Amino acid sequence: MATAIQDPTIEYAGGTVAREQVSLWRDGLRRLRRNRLALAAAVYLMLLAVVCLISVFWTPYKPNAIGTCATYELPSAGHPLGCDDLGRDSLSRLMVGTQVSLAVGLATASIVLLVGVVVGLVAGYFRGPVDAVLSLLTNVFYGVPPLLVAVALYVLLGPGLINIIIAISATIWMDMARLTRGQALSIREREFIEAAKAGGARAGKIVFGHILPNALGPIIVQATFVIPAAILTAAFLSFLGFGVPPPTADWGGMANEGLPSLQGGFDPYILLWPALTLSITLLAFNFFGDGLRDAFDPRQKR
Amino acid sequence: MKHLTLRFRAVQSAAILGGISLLVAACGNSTSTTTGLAAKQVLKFPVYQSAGTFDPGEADAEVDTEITQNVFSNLWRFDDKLNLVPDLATDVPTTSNNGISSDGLTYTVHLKQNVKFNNGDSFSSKDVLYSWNRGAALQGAYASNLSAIAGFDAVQKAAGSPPSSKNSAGVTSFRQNLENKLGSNDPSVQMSGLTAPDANTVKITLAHPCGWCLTAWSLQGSTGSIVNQKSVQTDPENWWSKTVTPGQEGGMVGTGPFYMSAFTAKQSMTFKSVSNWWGSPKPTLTEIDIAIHDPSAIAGDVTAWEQGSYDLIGYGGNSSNLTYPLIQGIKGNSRFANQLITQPKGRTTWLSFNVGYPSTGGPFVGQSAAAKGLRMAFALAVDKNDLAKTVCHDVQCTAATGGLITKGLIGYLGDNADPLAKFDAAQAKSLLTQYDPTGKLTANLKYSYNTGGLNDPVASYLQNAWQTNLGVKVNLDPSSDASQFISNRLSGKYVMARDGWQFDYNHPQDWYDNLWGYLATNAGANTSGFDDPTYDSVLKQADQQPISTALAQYNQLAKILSDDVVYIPLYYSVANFAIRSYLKGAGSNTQADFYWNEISIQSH
Amino acid sequence: MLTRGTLIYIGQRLVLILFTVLMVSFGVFYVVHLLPGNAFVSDRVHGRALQLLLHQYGLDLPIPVQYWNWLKGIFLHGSLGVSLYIRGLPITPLVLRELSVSAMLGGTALIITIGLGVTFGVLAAVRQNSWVDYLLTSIAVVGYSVPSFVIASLGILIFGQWLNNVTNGGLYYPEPWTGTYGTLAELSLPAIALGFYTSGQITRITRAAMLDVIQQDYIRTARAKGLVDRVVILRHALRNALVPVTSILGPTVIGIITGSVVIENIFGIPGLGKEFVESIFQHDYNVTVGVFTIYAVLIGFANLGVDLVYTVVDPRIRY
Repeated sequence: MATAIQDPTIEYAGGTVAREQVSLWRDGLRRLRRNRLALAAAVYLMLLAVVCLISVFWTPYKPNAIGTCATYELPSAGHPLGCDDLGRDSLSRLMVGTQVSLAVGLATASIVLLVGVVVGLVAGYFRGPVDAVLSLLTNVFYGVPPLLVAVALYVLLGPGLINIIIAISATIWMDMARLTRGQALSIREREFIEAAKAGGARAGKIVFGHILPNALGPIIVQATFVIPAAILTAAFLSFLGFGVPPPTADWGGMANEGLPSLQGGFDPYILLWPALTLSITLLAFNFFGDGLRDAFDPRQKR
Repeated sequence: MKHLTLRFRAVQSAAILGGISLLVAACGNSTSTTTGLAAKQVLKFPVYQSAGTFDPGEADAEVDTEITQNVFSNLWRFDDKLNLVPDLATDVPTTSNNGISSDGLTYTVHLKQNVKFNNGDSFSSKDVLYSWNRGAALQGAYASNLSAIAGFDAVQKAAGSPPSSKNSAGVTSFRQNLENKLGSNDPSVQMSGLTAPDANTVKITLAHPCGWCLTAWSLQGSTGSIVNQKSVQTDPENWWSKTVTPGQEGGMVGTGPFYMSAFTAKQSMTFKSVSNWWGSPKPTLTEIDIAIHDPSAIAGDVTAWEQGSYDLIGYGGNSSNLTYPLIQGIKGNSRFANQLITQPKGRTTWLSFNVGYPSTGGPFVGQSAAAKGLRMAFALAVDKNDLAKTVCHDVQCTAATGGLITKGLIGYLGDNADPLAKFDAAQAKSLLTQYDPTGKLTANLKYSYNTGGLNDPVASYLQNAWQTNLGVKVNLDPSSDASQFISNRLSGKYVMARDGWQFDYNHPQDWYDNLWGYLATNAGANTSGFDDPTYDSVLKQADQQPISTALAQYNQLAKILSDDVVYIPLYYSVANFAIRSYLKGAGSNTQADFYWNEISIQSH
Repeated sequence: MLTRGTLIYIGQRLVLILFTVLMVSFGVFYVVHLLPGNAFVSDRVHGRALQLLLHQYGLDLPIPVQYWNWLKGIFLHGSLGVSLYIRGLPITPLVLRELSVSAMLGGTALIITIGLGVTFGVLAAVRQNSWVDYLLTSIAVVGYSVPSFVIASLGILIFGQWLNNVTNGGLYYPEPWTGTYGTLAELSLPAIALGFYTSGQITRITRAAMLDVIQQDYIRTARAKGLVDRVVILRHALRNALVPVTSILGPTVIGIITGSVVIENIFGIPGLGKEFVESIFQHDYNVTVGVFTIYAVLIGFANLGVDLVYTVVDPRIRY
């Protein structure tokens, strides 16, 4: 899918101005607080995190317990979201599903951050073979749909949450690398880098002490878009049947299980709940990401 | 997916259909005399699995054989009640009509003389020799149906070893070579036990007596089916996917009442009736239009069926099964509720313990009291009736309580006759505490299964049952890829696995030989690693006797298996068909869907 | 416009496309052959019989040799090989037919994407900070946030179930594909579900680009000269705003291809996307590799096409 991270409006190929740190952050946070949509999204995401934490210790029913209610039971007081085809409580499963989605989103973002930033910095600062390999890989990977690569990788690695994360990370880390490389390329030509070099600073110090902090804004904004992209890809994968093994609840898989009942016009809720939750969560991440960008990248201000 | 269950396919022989009745065609009567026929006799339905191959020498999938049973004929076939009746032969050989010699080793088969292939060729004994020798040499999935014929092994050996050269020989040259050999009557590909004294007689000599062979040879669309040599030779590789022009060479030429007039892979097929067909009943339908759809399209297809675009939904076996929500949808619609037809199928699903692979198996391996006790604990912890209720909603399956062989077939033990079908949580728990007091043995157990259909909910159900009743957490190990699952099973890489069988022909040998027998063990297909000399010797004896005397021995095998607790019986499959009421003669039995030449469309 | 420089550029790009396609096809070829299992094994086909089948189809050769044979098939015979699932059937016609199905679905979705996206983007920019702007930009965010399978499912629920009497079941896909859909209705729901996602991005980019252009001097000049607003927007602003829009057509095509995998599986549409998933499950190696290769070629040419369209949209760009 054309993920949000391929959206050129959030690419920073041109140079950004090295700004004064303290006021940048304070300024940005102030702007973020003023953006009500982004704030609402942040509140929702915090709630989601709380639900996720709670679900580790407590759910109304055991999420995998069969027979807590009748199969295909419609929403009722005892089971506010109804039950699925095996008589499992949908609310409990929806809550537990948060874990998979957030785990995929955050873990992928971390891997992408780590790998993408390091590779990008090295490629951008030192150029040379790393840069050549990176641009080659980028070219090849931009020639194929990432979801299909993820499917192939997933099938090769076998089922499992970790493998899903690896498969997704492998298909989207290059965007981060490319972004960081662009930042590094432009920042390394700036005067204060010249100055640091003249002052005898080692390469490591220059890259991580000077270039990275100055490129951090766009990188963080980009990372917030990696999270929904990863959650979305994971949902696509498990909707196609390449998800975490059952009976672990995850939203894409739950939606997939609910599709036959929806098609029969029999019980739309099994599909509806995970689909809506997934959509709202992705929406929230995107609103929040937009807010961050507006706040921390003045170039993109409305 | 091609393989939704491990094994499937067609059924046979005399059996009383248990349970629900269905539309049964007036067999033997020509339906063309019926009044009130619609002007247009075109049958339309979707199937949900593309043809793998229609070549009877290789065909493996139920949907394929249920289509080609209308194109090819065998020497005998099964009528709608699974009785064995003559097809290309004049009668069913028995010892009393001198068709079978008193030692059971020689079968003399007389052939009908008015039979013609679609290309105009007359059918004769040569065609039987060609088709059966070809079937043996191709080594397809059902080649073993011919394995009792003298000389079978030699033909397989001569035709079969992969050439040692590492040059890509390619499919063309292998099949071309085989056709060349068969064409030149090369003795290396001729089973010595198969001879033709004259144009209308075939003599079959067996290597040893065989109580099940006649039913196996009659399996439709399979190695016993008669194909046309000239047409195969026009394109040895792909002849089966080519359409037929009556009277001309080439394409999927058979002796059946229908021929294929159009074929677009993964899209559609059209079959047309053969004019002046030799057999009976004469086909009433003039054309069969089959759409090949993805299973996800079935909901739309049911809507189309209600609107009249399709006449029936569910043709082609397991892959065409209606889902529960769709069944409920049809039931809830007063116009169509009575057009939903339920038919138990000869297909059983159970769980196999890995009992014979110590290096890869778990705590269930072997015959020790602990291993057996743990197997029993896991079996007793599953409430089979509740499983059928929860997973199948008592609509798509029934609890398997009468042994591995399904109700209605020869070898069914009787309701609740299987001791492993019992549910006793207390006993299960006490067995577990007795044999695994620390819980160490049953930690990190895995249940492996191939995904799709009922397999996923069944896996979740089992996991929940063991958790609830034994307090044991079993991990699920799904394979979205059936071939990977089968490969793992064949090499013993599992602890507990989903298992199942859909019978091919109505004979206990089809179950006991293929699943735990010495034949399976020798072929490396004994997936559970079960190996018991008593079992093998009883099986060998039983296989050589007529079913009347063999049945008691087969039942003894069932007892050995349940005494050893090598499996947990789960459920018998039930198929649901949506068949418009104006279709006369359409339906299905435990084995297969009914022949097209029995179906007619009433005016509506 | 076809200067020597442009020709050289096209040549370079073609070499890059060829290189990418070779890399992709080899990678996928290698990976699918590495997967455990194969198209033939069953509990009735194993051991020697299985070996025989593997040999018949050349699957017992080393993977690089098999790949070389596959390449030879393409370059010498224009053939993508034979199917293993449908034993021995040449797959080129099959895959091309499925491509035509996907192309019709994807093409319709692309038209919806660009049509909706550009219209919404222009409207939002022209009425910047009005309720129209907020509404349309919100729709855009919803568009690229909500997964296509959710939109498709909701569509089925609303039009297929609740409004079934109105649509008369026409939103399903009941007939075999013969090159055209039976009705526009059958095509519209999958195409909208597919196009909605990417249209959100186009909306955002069009809006941003329009705002950029509108604020530039020559637009002010045009307005000052008394040109009517509509003319200004369509002639001047939109033309320039289309440059960045064009730039994401490549990712958009990728997005539509990816989305089609999901959408085709929901609606049971017999296109390449459904074939891809199916062929992986079935170990139909040549089909998987063939589909991937077709996608790589398609995306390569889409990107090249986009770059060439650039030169038309924005005459300042030369290669």
